Amino acid sequence: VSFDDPHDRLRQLVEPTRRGISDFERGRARKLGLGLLLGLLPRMSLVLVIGYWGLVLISGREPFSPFVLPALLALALLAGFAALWMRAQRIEASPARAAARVDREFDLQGRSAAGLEFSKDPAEDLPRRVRAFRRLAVEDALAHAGRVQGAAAAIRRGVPPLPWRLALFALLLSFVPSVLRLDAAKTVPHSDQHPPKAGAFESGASKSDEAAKELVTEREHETAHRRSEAGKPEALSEHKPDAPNESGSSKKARPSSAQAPLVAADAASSQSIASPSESSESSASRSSGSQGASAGGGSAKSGKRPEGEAEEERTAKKRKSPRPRQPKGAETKKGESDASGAVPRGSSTSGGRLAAVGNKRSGVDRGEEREDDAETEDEEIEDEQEESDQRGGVMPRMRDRRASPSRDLSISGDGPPDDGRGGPSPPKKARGTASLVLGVRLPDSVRGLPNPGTAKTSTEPVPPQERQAPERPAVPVRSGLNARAAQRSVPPQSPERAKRILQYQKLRRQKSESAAGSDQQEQR
Amino acid sequence: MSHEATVQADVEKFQSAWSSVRDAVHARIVGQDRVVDGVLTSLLAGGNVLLEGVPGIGKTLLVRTLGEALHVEQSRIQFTPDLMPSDVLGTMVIDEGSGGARELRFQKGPIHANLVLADEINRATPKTQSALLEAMQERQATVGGTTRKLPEPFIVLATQNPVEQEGTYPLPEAQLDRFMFKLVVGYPKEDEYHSILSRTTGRAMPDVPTVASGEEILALRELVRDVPVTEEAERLAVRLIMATQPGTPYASDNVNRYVMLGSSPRGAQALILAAKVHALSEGRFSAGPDDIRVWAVDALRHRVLLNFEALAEGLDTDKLILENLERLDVR
Repeated sequence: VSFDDPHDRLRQLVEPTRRGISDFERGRARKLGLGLLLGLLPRMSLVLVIGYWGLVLISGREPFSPFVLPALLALALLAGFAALWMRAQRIEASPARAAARVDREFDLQGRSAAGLEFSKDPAEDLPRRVRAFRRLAVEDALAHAGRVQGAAAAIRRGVPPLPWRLALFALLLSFVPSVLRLDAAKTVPHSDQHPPKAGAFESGASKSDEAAKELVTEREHETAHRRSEAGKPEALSEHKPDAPNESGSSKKARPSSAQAPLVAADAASSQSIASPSESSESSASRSSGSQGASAGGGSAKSGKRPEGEAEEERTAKKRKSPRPRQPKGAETKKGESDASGAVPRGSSTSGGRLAAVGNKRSGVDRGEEREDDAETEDEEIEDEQEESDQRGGVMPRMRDRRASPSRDLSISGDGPPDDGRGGPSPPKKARGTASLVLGVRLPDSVRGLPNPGTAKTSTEPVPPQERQAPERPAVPVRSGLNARAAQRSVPPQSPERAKRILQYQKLRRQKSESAAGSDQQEQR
Repeated sequence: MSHEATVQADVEKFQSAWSSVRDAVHARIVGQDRVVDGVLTSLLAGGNVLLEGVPGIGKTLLVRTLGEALHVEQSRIQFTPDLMPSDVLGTMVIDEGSGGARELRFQKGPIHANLVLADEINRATPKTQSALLEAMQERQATVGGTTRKLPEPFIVLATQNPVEQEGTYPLPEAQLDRFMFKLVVGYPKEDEYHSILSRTTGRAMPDVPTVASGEEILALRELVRDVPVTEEAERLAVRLIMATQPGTPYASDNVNRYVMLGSSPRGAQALILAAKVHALSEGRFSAGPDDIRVWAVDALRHRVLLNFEALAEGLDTDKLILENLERLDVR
């Protein structure tokens, strides 16, 4: 048998199947890759949105239009799919795999795969008989090749469906900043007095003290400049109840400006759900709170109450009901309403700041505790795996290994409790009596026998003690027939028997006394 | 005659011997095709077999019938808790000669036979069970400091009962690993019952023809060793073994979670040898992945030890091995 011809012939035999498998595998790889990309899209979208908002928070302005985010997402999808396509094009099925498929499809029982493998390498170093076996296997494969006749084996393997819903969700997620921006543009009017930094995105500004101080300083400068232009002293304006409190409003604006973008989104969404009147009120108060000086004027117009009354009323409400723990969105609303110009400087500053800062810190603390717990649990497993690697290979999991069963066949087996499944003997039940235990002397009595048993006996010397018994009424004496019936019928005892019993009791008493005496001597 | 022609004739002889021994055993044993094939495969591959089944389904009869069909020396050891190693291996006895001289003489135990039936092996103590270790692996027995070769072909066919575990000693892992197959003998089918009743309730049991000798079995064993195995089959055998070992790349989540100890390399040897015998029995000249799959469950089920969690959840090794077989099918 020549090894060149059979090998080529067998390769030609499996070639259609090999091509079919290659095409199928390429298509499958593309589809699987696309599925993987679509599954990753929500995360990518989330990263883009968070990154965008992070840039906004850091720089204080929009780095680019939020409508770029969906475009970026689509671009990433396209790039990833192009890379996958190019990689899938390189997939080629091996002839051995095709031969295995042909064997299975045409029930050749591994003949073509074996023939293909053995015809490739003559294996001259093997023993003669083994080489003869290999040649015979090749001949056998060629003899059964007629069953195939150039047909390709069918490929039956399913491909999981693509996660289109996730992709749609990711696309919608990428539009969230654009939607929020549109909503903010509707509700927050821009004024000439405030630059874009303190405008629509002011509510999403950084919460750090430095930023807040900068904001306060800036507004104080503006206020001082305006007052100096009006020619009024600052002290007089503070005593006026209706006058807008500039520094107070700027400090009160801090909680609202310190909220995270997500909180702003919550607030916006809750705002849209609320009734029109509520939304108009809240928008008015928010605009007044966020816009600093104009806020004071707005609140003065809408409030129409002296500042002292408003403060007293708020203080009374605080005393009546302690502040309940509220979700973040609710606190945001409260902070915004507190930031209106109707509230004096000192009253709401601490409340707004404490609420925001306190919640954030507590949330962070809780998260850290959970992470610590998970790390502690995983430490042992990681250590064990590391040890296993250091030993030079994967070893059997001795962590789960139970102790080897005891093969002890003595009477006091100390194996596990008997479960009826064989194995080591379970603990034996004690068949001795308590008197067998050394050092513990217990009175031994055998039921049915007047004499004590053969085990050693001892009596504990307990001296009699006098004890007071409760008084009881005397029992009335029975008379007549009742008295006769109550009498016990005792058979007459022979004098000899009575004498023997007395002797026995006397003898026993002597014995016990002598035993007690010897015990006392031993104890001494 | 060329080597190819010789090999072809040997393979035909193998097929003939296979079918004749199979038919001879089935003259008395009704049904249980897979068990009979498994015992024959183990006999021709040079392995030992552990038969597990409830009482009364013909385990002992199968072994006795095989002994009659092969015309080899057979012995039976009924394992009991008071059986001692010397009762299995043999012992030194004082022999008094004709002149009154006394000398120590070795009295062979029942292990010195070709076909040894270890009936209810789990009833003996571990001390006695361990007396079989050397015999099953090295085909020799050491008594009184002297090592004696056991007769060839040598095969131990042990039986054990899955019920009535009270007072039994489960086989240690080292001994379980020395069995090539653990075959589970099940109940007969309905139509098989009629044949069993007609054969066993008459005057005499059917005669079993002697169809092969010990020498022929040895020659067939050598032929089995010459059969080539494809790379794909070897790869599958190795991956199947590694897939039973927790922590390996081929181990599934279930294996990592439920398996305490995986199969040893002896499992891979058993898979390859069984595949070779299966290929020869079907008249093929090489063993492929399909031949590996045929006896995978029987060759591995006793080599995989499950942990307590698996036992509590009612998982068995057969399911795990079948799951691995399906998972590692790359075609």
